[in-house]
Amino acid sequence: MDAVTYSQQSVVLFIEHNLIPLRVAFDAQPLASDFAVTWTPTMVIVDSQGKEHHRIVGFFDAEALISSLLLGLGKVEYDSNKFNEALGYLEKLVTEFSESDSAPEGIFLIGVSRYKNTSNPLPLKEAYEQLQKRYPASTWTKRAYPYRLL
Amino acid sequence: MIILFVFEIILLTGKLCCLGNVADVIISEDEQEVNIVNKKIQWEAELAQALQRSKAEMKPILLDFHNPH
Repeated sequence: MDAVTYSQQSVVLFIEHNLIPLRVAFDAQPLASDFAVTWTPTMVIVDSQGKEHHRIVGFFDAEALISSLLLGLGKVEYDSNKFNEALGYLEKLVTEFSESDSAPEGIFLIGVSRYKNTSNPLPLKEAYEQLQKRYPASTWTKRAYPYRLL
Repeated sequence: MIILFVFEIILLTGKLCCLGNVADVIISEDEQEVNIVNKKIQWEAELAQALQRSKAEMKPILLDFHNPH
């Protein structure tokens, strides 16, 4: 990761702008046990209370890492019921990284965030339709399958 | 124009030398910007310090478990 991904300026600038980077050895205690780390690289996005919101395991190139970090930032806000803030990150993810593996989950969470913001179920159905059209084989399309009936 | 360009290259080289490994220089010439950035991630090493910064800067923490070997 250091040689290929963390050295990319796009990654450096993204992390510097959006996150507090903290690096520890994979076997550093008690953190390794607290976060049940069993493989490297493992990256966890945690909030200011130390609560985990998103996990990345294995090698990611620069584009995959930034898109996954956008998803993680959205999940931090989503988990705190800050849906407008979550939508900011998630919409950037699905717009700028539509080919990434993180995009389908982003669309799913956009639908849920909009629903939670308005109590209108239509965004859930729209999320399913968008997933079915763009990512028919994604697990997130299957998870949104019931929303087609709304 | 060429003299100006060479002069700016000399200036830029001097700035880069002064800044060492971390260079962040912006040069403007005829409304054209050249942005040279060579930064590295400044990792925190202690959770307590990262949590403190997370609260102060209102940013989540990216906790990287890595294998130093």
